[in-house]
Amino acid sequence: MKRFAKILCALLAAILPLGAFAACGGAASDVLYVLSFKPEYDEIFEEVNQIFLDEHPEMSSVDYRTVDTNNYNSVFTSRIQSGYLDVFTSEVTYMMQGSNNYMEPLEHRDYMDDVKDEYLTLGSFYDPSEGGEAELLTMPIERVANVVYYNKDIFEEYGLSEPTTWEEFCSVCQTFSDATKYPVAGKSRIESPIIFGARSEWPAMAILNSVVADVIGINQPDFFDEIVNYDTNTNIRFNNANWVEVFEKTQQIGTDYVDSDIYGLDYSFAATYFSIGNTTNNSWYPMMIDGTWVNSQITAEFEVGAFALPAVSDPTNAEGKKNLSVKTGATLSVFNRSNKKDAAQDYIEIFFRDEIYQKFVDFAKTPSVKETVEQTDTLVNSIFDENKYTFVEAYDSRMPRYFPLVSASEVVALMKGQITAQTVADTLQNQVELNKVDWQEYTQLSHTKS
Amino acid sequence: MKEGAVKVKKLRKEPVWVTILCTAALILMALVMVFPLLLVLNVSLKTQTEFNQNPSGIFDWKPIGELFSNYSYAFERMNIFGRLLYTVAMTVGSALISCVVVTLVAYPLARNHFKGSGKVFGFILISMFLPGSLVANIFLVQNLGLYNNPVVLIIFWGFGGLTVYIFMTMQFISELPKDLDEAAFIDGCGYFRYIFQFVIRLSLPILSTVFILKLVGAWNDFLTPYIYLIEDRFMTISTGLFAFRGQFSSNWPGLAAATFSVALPVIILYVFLQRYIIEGMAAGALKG
Amino acid sequence: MRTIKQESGGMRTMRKSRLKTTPLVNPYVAIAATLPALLSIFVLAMLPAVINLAISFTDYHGVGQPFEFVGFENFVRVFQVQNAAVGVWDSLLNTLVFSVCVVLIQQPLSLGMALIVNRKFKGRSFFRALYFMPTILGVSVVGFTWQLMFDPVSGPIATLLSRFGTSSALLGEEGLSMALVIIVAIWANFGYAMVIYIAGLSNISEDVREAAQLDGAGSFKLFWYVTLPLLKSTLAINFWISISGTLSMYDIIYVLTNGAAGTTTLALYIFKLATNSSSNQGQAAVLYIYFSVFVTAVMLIFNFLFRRKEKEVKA
Repeated sequence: MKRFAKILCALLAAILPLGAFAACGGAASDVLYVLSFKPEYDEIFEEVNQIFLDEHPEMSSVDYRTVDTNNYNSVFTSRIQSGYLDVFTSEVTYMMQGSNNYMEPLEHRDYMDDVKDEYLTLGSFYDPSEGGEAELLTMPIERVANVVYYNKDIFEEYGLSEPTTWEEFCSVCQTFSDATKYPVAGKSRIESPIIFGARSEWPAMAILNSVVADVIGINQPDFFDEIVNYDTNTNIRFNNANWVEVFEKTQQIGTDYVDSDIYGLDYSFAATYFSIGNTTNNSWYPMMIDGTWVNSQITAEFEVGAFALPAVSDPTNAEGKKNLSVKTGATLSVFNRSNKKDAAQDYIEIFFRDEIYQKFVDFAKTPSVKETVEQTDTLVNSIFDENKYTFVEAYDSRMPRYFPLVSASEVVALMKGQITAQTVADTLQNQVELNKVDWQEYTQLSHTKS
Repeated sequence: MKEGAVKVKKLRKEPVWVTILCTAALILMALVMVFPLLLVLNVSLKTQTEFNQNPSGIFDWKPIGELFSNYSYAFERMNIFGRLLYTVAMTVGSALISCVVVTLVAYPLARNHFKGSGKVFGFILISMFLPGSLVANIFLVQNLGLYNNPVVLIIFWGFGGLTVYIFMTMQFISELPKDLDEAAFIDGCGYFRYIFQFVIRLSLPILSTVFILKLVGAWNDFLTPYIYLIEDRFMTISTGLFAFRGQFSSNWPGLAAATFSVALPVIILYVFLQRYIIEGMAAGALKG
Repeated sequence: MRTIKQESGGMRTMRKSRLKTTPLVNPYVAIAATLPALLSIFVLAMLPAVINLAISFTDYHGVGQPFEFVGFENFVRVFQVQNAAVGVWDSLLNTLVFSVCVVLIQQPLSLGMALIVNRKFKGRSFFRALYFMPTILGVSVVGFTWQLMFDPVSGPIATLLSRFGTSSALLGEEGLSMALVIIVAIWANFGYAMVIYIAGLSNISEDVREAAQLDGAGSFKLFWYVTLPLLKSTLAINFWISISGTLSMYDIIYVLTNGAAGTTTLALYIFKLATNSSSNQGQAAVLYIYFSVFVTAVMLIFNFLFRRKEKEVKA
């Protein structure tokens, strides 16, 4: 015991000089602070950091940090409060929830001429309180789609093709759920026409978003544009027939075409099990729904196809195409209280240089936002096919700020059949009524001039 | 320390069935404890492809270098060797501070050295349940001027969450003989000198427990450094786990190896100190 | 025999706050010794609580956002249904189920294992160390481990179930998921409680046990009439730590189920509300306040009941 005490004392003596660390000022002017929630892209960003440092000899280092999404909000809050921030990743959803308050409008740089207009529009916001033109606040780097991935081998085996209407989709699912009702000797297989990472909850939003894109997108196409006129337009209600239909169809997919055991599946396993395919004696899964971030994670040996979930009998929209629910993934922004705004804008520019961005696009398997950079992956290109689909931003990115949203946990409960579609619709509507005063104060932010 | 364990011949041997039952329970429980950890170990020895093809299968045997490739990657990615000294300094330093603060408050309270010490103790107990929030904490740290200053770790780890330990240490100290106190004070020994010279030494069994629990808590805490500190040199080892948690993907074998790499130093320390910890607590930490 | 008559110091000070102070010690010096701890509690617990209280009267959404004073509105609003899947009352019920189950299963288990490990045999310190292991591993390791264990398709438990021709969503199955979360919570924490029981047990003098054995008491009677009453204050500490710990436990549930399938406890409900960037921080602050009142009340009731029990035993 005595020796233990001596060791402790020696350690204590060794610790004390650490107080020397205490002399630390505010954000250093020769360090660029970058915060991201995409650890997947670390390698690309490290390359950007290196180029940035080579070209900016006055900067001593780049403080690049990634945090997983669960903890991103805490760290982001801390950074904006303290000012140790220059460049950060965001999402359109986040901006809708207020992080645009921290964004410096991006200056015009040459690379922007190559960026496709639709992405510039996505990153631009009007602030009616200020009036004037829309400002480019953030630069999208990727786009993801809420599609149904399917195993072409299994589809072929059953003589099925991509469904184009809700009824066809149901019958495809029914075929698979009938086909899986045989037991394998000594082993019960978990078979499910559709799998998704249900235990992680958020993938359920991909299903809801797909259904919304069709049911609301076809039956009430002006719904999201009209939300700002909520008070006067009585068609804008979340418990109207269209929304109840959305929730009912989501529920039908969940209860009828997803095996109940799938509700314990972690999202990172969904792609893994889908990729295993028909080869093992475990299980097979003909379809997987996910929010396409998973493109780079599908390592299947079989041929993978993807289609937009058709949620109505005639999913052809006014343009003669189909609606595909998409989401802008990560975007890059400059912090508006940064003391190195120019350097921060340079940093973003470096990321968008053709050679770097090409690497990124190949790695992340996302459609390119630049005209000069091509995505070569056939699966990705078949999903982001402009001739076939109209891209509809996901429901939760289109809502005004602080507007009550359906939560992922509600969608999962709905899909399990624990709550009825009507309950979900009524609760949502009720919340909208209750929080009306709150959100109306904050709805200035929008893509379109009202 | 071993005062409770007076050796006396057993009068009656326990029946055989009791021995069998106890041994069975011991082994069963040991399996329950070990099996999940072996599972993680198994995953950490797989390559990503192996894992994708058969997540639950046993890892393929490979040459040692390849077998531990996840570990070498994790060690490099998390810069474990580079951060070891700093992390040890921070965690050990704050754990030591905890021990000192706990003894300082526990001794007067256990001995009722001032009026209302019971109320003070009640207040300490209640403080455990006071509502705080992240926004409030960030606000506080900034206004104290401690943002991006490693001292903040010492404050949160060393001075925070002490209630249970104060409670335990008070129990222990109240069991210590009072004669020594009185003799020392009559001899003119100063209060603080007495605490540092005698009370801390006498309470080493319980303080070693406080020490290891606080140390382990600090070691495993990966969020606090990330929230309140900025610079890379201020990050502790466990913050490196963030590199393995994707937004929408997980590198399970890598994460498993990283998790074990972070836990490894603590496990080693624990193996060495476990006699102090468990015997320490058992020797009279919570005399009843 | 000394130890038997004495009661725990903590419990005693809680009971009689006005004991004679020792005249040898200057009380002001003694108060000075408590200052570091009291100061840290003031800074780390009270100040944030005050800031939290201030936020609870506003519709604060995040740093730099405009906010307004809304009075007591938040205090009423948190009780209105926000989420069709889980509400405040559901999560309160879940908290009670979780707490009661964990405490009532964990305590007998850890006491039983403490009794077993307290016997003299070779390698007992190995087993003690092994059971204590999860305590030092931390939540992220525990959560990670059990996520792998409970994978419904090819995890070990699922494979075992399939041998019996059945299957389950495990962590995703209503009802079962709560049971599994409880099991993991016990797995992670019983070693800690066990060590505290070992402490209590090693305090019981062999003489007492021998005397009882001479009187012809069997193993069970020995335990029930001799060991258990002597463990009273150890039981109190263990229950106190366990109850307060389980009531405010959210991290392990967050890692395992994210609150799905009826496992959202009140602490997790508040945590999720507070970390959701679109939510009204004022409402989260109000829930924190309600929650701390709730936990404090439970602990006070526990103290009250326990003290009454102690008195009854005395009488």
